[in-house]
Amino acid sequence: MTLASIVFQTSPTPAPVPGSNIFSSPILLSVLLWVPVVVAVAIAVMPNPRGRYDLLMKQIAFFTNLGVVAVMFIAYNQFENFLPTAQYEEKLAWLPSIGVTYHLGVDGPGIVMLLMSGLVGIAAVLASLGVRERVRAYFCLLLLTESAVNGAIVARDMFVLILFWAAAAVPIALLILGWGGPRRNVAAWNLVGFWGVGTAALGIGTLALYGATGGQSFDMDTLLKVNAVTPRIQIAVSLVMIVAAATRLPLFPLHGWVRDVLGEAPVGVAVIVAGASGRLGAFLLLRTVIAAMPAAGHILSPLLAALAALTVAFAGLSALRTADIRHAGAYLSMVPGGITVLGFAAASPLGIAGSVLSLFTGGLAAALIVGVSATLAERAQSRSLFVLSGLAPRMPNVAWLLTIAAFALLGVPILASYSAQVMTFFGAFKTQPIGAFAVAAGLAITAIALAVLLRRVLFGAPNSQAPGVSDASLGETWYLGLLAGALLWVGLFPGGPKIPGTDFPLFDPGLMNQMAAGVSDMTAPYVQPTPTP
Amino acid sequence: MPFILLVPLVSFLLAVSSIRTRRSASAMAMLGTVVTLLLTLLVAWGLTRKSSYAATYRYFDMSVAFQGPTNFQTFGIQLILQVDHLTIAALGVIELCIIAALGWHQVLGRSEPGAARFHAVVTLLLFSSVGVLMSGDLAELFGFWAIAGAMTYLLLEHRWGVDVAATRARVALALPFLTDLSFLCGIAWLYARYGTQTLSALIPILHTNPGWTVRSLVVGSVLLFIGVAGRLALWPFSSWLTQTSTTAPPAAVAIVQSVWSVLAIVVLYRLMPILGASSPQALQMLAVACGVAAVAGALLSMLGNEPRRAVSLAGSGAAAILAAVVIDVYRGPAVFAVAGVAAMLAIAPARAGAFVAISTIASAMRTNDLAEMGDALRRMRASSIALLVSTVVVGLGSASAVAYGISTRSRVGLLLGEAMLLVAIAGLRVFLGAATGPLRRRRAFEPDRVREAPREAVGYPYWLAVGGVAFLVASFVAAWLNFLDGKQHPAPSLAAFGVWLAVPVIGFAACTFAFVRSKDGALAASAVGGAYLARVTAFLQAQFDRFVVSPATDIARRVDNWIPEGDSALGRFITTAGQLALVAARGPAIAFVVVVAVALAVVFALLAPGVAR
Repeated sequence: MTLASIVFQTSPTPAPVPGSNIFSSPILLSVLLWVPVVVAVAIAVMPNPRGRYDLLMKQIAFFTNLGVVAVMFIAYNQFENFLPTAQYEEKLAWLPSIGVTYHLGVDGPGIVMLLMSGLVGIAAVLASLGVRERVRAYFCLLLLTESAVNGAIVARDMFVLILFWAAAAVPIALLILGWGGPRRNVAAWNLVGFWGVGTAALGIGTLALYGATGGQSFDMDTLLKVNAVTPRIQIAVSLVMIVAAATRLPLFPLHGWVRDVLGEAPVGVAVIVAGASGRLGAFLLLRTVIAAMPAAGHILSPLLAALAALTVAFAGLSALRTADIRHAGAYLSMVPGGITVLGFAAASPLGIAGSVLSLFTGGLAAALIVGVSATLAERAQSRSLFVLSGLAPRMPNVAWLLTIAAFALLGVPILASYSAQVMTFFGAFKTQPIGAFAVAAGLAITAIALAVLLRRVLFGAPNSQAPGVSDASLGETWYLGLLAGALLWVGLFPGGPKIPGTDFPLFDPGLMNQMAAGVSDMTAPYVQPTPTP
Repeated sequence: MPFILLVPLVSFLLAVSSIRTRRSASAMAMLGTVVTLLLTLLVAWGLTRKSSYAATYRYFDMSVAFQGPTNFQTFGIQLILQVDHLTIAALGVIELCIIAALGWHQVLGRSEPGAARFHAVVTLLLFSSVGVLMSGDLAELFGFWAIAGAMTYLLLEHRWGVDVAATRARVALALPFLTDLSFLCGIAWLYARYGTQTLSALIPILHTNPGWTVRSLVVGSVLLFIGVAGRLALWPFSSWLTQTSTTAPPAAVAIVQSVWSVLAIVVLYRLMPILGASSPQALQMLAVACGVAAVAGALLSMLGNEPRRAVSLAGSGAAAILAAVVIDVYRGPAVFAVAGVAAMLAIAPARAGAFVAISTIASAMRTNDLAEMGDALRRMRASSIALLVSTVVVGLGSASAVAYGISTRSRVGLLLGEAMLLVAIAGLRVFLGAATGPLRRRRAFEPDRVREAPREAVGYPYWLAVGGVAFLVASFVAAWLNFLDGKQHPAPSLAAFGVWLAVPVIGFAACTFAFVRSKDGALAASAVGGAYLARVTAFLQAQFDRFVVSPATDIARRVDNWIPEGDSALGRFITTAGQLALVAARGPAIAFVVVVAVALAVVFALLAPGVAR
């Protein structure tokens, strides 16, 4: 069997979506994972005398991401949303003596995360087109970052997950150290410190599960089998996993890296950290605590609700009092994470389903607010909110995108985050009404913070002492528009556009349909019985 | 029918994508509104043959569980568009108010900045208003409600270059957002208990769904009521309207007042089966709350001499009376709940007309103080008459609803009667202050230069007032109520009409008597009251800032500083560890291991003397 025949195979089962059956492959996920790594290595070894091929390297990185996103989209289209099990599985024995396998696969939430990661990745590349120094190293590290994040999403073996989870921190820290702002050292060490703690927690939790399940295998099908361990161990492991997730998402009080990292990192790095890398924390919670340890999920739901409420409230208050627009964007990017965790705290099928959707919408919204804040600061040549004022007439594109970002954070209808927040709140009100009220109050504070920010930066009286400003460039408009457009698209067509007069999907099967695969099985332990009259 | 919803949306998209000049923006907005009105009339003609239209579009459906109660196994939001007589009447009133306000703004709003933005926002507000009125799904309704709320904020903070306008507009965002969140919480609360948010499916199962309790219905009802009360601007939720009444463009405030009066009362009417199913005590409490809001709104209107604020609060008082009627009738057979809606269809254009008229007068007289106004009846006759007719409609408007639905012998009736009296006084006070008495010369102001508004603009407040009169007369006719809700309504006795009409008339008479005796004395008393109110408000605001806002932001600041201090320690630790590692790597390995082992042994011995022994 040649490589070509392995890579390009028709799918064994016909898919119902027009345009499906384009191709499938038994190594599709590995292709998505390792092609960016191969390209990164190729870029690293390419000769580039005096930066002659900088533009070529940017183009290579861009088209690599474009190809990866195209393959992701095809995988998303051909995904069978009626199957609860993982799809596109690949399994090879790696370290059989300790039970480690190279096991990859995606289910409904996984395909949603993968698609979001792809969109954020290509946005990060577009946002980085303005990099002028050490272009080769920059894009090499950026591609490695994307690969590590994608690996953490598709990993079905906890050992492999830990490797990718930890691996994501290294290139990000190097990117910040090499291309960050004046406080890049502080930011990089903050990142390493907090994410190191999270990785250690993840490792401890994994080893505890490994020991409790007989020490045979690190495979998620074994370690994360529903109720595989006693409730006491579930609670202990869940607490550790919450620490790991809280350092990555982030959640209050383990959010200390957010302001410095997202404030000092280059724009593309900030976008990918806030968007895709941050959502890994919530994804970990979903996989380990919610899906696999429902007893602990029920008991710890008040803790999760409290963390969610504190995160949203703190983010709103901090954004309200900060005087730096990038810091404001960094704090505001914490809000979607809080809402996602509220859905987990709801411990109800609707709440969990809403959280799965908010993995996608929250990632895009967080990436958008961070990206537009950073772009605005660059274009206005100032980060201080005492200097930035009345910019809307001179920066109409940025003004629109900042407004859309604000609406996305608040869950305004027409944008995808509306559906996610409605489902989350509706699901949370039955089981965690106090937490839901508290998060709603935090959202009110966030709304005030956003109103103050928009009024001051965009709609206030122009500041004659401010430096000259220019609107977003074409590349910047494209990457921000891509994120906003994705939110708008899913907001308008959550079930996918249909051929008029039929229920036949047009070219998008619908994010809500695809993400449903496996969600019903995850939520089965959380179904409340019918009340007796 | 969906075109009624799509036309304003298309108008908005055209406005934001291609239109830049004032005239073209105004023309596009007017065209969109007029076309929507024509479509409304077309549907109204179609409704002569059918009682209602309905169309359902699936937004999304998702299966979330395979077990458990059937209602909770799937979740979906449907776009349910329903049109009946009430919807058409409400839509017609909203469209007429917007057309009049836009027409007035075309002439007298020329100096306002951002014409393209203003008109685009108005068309999107119209789109969302249509959506609210036609929605049959609560989540869908909230979606349109939230869009309308966002557009309201953008209208009220329109003068973004002026700091005081932008600062005051923050209240217009924060306060309604809180009440809208309460509305969302109410919908979520009901969904959590019943598993559906479609009104037609929810109402029949309110008392039959397993696990329902009176407590859950009461909590949901209160949350929904707070959401509606916020948008009706009932006291104490009225500050978002009063704070922006002088800082926002007058046409914007007029549109917002009239549109939300209609939207909120119709939504309250449609939600009343849910509120009515809770408990009679809860209904009484809500009705009394509305009555108190009406009295408070009217009293606050009489404190202070800012005419636009006074008109807004008087209208808010009238709206509160009607909300009380709609709620209180549900303690009984609930036949006359639609009377409250019918009366609001009269008051809404009157509120807009009164606001626009007094804005015209205030602009011509270059003052926002009633004490400095006067003689408008002679100098600006058309605007004054429009103001008079509008304020009379606001004062009389609630009489029909109260006559239909409230007993003269009940406590709620007593409370509402008092409120009607005060609303009548508060409304007419504005006219008497502006239109009667001398117009005195002030510094840099010559009274003889006060002229009526341009002919192109003077008719709009007048026609709004006439529209209010027409709907007011209709609200007294039982056939109009029959048309609105498709049920038969017996006409109340003439004595009831007489009693409830007499109350505002007495209020008008009392106010007229006070102003005839001493206009300056009446206004001076209001000024003193207003100054005292301002002092109390400032004191309360300062206490709120001191005990709530500042501590909260201070806590956030301290936590935010605490974390980097910890980070610094962590960073120093990491740096030190790294440096030690480098030293260890360079030094002799065996010696280093021996040193570390000895050090660990000493530490272990110190900490565990029992083991060392």
